[in-house]
Amino acid sequence: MRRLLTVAALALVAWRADAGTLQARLVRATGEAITDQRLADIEPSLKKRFGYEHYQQMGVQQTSLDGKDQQRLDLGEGFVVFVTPKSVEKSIREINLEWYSGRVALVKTTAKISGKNPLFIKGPEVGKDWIVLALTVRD
Amino acid sequence: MNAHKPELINALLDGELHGLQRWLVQRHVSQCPVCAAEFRRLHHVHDLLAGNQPVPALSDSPEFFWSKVKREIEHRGNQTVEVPAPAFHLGDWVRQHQMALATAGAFTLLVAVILWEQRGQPEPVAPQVALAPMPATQIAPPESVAAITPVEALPEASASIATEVEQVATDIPNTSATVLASDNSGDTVIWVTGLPWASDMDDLKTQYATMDIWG
Repeated sequence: MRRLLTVAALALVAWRADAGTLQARLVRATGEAITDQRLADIEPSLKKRFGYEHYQQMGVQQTSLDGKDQQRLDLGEGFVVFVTPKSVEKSIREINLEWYSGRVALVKTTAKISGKNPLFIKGPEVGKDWIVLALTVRD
Repeated sequence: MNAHKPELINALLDGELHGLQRWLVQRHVSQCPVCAAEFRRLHHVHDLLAGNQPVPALSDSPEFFWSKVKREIEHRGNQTVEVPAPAFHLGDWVRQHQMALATAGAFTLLVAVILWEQRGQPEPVAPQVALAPMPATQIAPPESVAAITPVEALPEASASIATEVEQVATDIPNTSATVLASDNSGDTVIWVTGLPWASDMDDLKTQYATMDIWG
């Protein structure tokens, strides 16, 4: 029985490793002195791309990319991301993505995302800050 | 002024130096013991000469001398006398306007330095964004409402595992979504411009809740 459970667990881990996970983070680029350790992995890229010194994570959701069903990620502050996996080739995952604020679609796109390279979407400006959506895939 | 020039010390004593040159000579005399000794010597000579002015000795009495001058004037009458015109030299003009020329030269030099520094500076660019060149452009799908500028990632980047955006659109009128592919870091940015500005998050929610996306 123990062996059977071990084999089942290994099989589950192997299956999950192929599935991949999409993580969506709602980020506020700001001039306020804020240090958010949750963004440490993408902060250098954010600084390079958007120029702000500080970034704050306002919301985060993740979903599995197995299957073909549309997933809804509610990031808070009225922002919702709809993700529909299309295909996977090696470590590159093609997805349909829709980013909504309220009932308005800010962006609709089809993108191929790999694990090492995030996709950023620069959204609306609030005061002196920018709202950015950061998408990363983890296999 | 470092060299010992007695003629300048003499000119200083005679009051022939002015402006910067006078100041330089005075400063040198106050610092150089050789020239200070020369200055004292010449000053003593000047004092001696000033105290022993030569008395002109007239061969005739003043009245008789003046009568001779008067007679000579009457004798010459209306004779024209050619007076040589003073030759004008550029050096004279430069000496007369040396301060103005020095000021103009300094100003010209300052302007040249400023222009040179501005020429050396790079063209101003958007300081907040590092953009990569966009190698290719695709036409937006017909269902999109707003302006669309989809761009693929760089070929060499997409050949590896770079994120690639195939198409992008936005429903909001008067906005555009542009894909900015990465040069070497691999990440990609979709830049949505033209979105309405909000003062705070509540204002943002209100605006998007009441937005008429069909214009």
